[in-house]
Amino acid sequence: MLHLLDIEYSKVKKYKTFWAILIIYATLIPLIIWGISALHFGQEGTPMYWKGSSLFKFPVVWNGVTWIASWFNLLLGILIVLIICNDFNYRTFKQNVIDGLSKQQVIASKFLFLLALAITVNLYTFIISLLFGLVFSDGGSMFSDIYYVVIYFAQTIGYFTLAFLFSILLRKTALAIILFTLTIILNPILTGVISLAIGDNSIVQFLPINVISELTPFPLQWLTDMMSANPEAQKKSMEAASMVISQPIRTVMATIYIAIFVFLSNLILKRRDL
Amino acid sequence: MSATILEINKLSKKYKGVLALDSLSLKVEKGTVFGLLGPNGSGKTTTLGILLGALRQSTGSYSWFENGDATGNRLRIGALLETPNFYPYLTAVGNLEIVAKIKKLNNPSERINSVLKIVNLYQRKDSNFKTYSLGMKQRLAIAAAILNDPEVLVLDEPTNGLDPQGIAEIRELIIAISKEGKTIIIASHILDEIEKVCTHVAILKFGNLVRQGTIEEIIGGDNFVIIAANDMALTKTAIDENPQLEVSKTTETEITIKVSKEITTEMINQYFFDKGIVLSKLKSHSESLEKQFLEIIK
Repeated sequence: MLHLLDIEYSKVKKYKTFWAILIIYATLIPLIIWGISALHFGQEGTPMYWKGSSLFKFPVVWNGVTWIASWFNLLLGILIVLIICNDFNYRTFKQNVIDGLSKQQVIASKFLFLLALAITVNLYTFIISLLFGLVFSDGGSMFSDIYYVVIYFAQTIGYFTLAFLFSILLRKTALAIILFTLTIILNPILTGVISLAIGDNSIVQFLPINVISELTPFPLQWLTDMMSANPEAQKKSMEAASMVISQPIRTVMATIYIAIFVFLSNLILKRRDL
Repeated sequence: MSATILEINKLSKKYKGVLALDSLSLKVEKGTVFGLLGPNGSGKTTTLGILLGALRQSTGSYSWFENGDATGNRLRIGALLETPNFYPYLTAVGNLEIVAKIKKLNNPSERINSVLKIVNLYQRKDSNFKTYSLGMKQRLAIAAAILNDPEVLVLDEPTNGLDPQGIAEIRELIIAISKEGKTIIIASHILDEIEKVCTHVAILKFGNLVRQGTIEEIIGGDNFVIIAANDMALTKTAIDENPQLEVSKTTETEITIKVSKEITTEMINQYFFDKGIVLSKLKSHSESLEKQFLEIIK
């Protein structure tokens, strides 16, 4: 397993685009958090007053940071498309097999690399959350919402495996990037149209992109806490209004979608010549 | 004692209804230099692609080292298939390091330097692959194929894109490697290449095996002798009188006759001399592979 990861790492070690995208990701997240934390609205002391930095207090910081980080999954998904399609464009998948890997090993090595990248990204998000939490917190239970980091991991893997599937399906970098981006950008429109057409907005929540993207939802609880005199009641009503799937069930569903993406990718590769 | 390195059994490949390879069966023994010949589109690369795991056969089977089609077999093979496939943003060394990792080579840097010297790329070892000329890319592909000092070398059009000096160097490299007792399988349509290095040949046409044998068997048992004399008419009569000699071609100034291998030029000279004809020209020439090849694939 380490052998395969080592091979994959050798491929990106000197690949400048790979590092450039990672650096953009790693810089933008703390910059945006810093920007939001500097914002504030309303009169201090009134119920309508809110400070951006309160989004980064424990424990809401886990939701806040993963929600912000999730915007950039598109960027990381494109990175996955790049490194997979490169091996098709350069015919190096084929060469790796000729040189002595099995087709299964070639897929496994890419998948392992994708996992390693997701773990790295999540570790980074965890550290960023922890640091900002420590800076902006005045006590509060530190780790009570830390499950968001785990859920964010599932989300990253979700986007990565979708990018993986599109890359294997299309094999051309530009086409795969377009399909991946459109899928994510057009999803809210599709969701809206279907909801209107059937006059119900619960079924669309089961669409794969919705399941995956809602894993790190907008920090609703934080907003209601901010704006309401009675946070508990407000929170319950807003949750009831927007979500039909609970977070644990959503995580299980996301895992099922991930399994489907991986299964389909494997099926395509097995049936096709490299 | 010879061992079977490769056995192909009724291998076929269909691409969207086109039969690229039709029930090919072959055997390659250890230590031979095996040439796979055929015009463009005859199934050479398809065959090698299947043997190297890059393509799936439609039907049939193959076995390397009497060990089936196991992935591990390929760690004992060095191969160059079609085009040189490398990462453009990596140097020669960076690319070979990946090959070395796949081949599970211990201590690869020394070996990488040595193969780069063999193919004359050492000076450019730290340049990115994308800056290489076609010939240099081909040299790097050959370096990758010999990197793990493989028992079997599979080369698909190894001299593609090389200059005449490069072609000669690669030919010498192939001969040197075969002298170490290694087995080499070469696909090519450059017949001169095959004739100079191969011990065995198989000729493909439209995915079918049309001929197989040692290079001597393919080139044929007949010798050709070109003769000329002052009195051509008399010479011709003398040929007709001898059932061992057969006219192959006649021009105004010379006659090409076909004789069996046992007949030496000395015997021919003696025969005409006895008939009172003094030959002004007597030249033996064996049929080239090219002529045979064109004949066979007609």
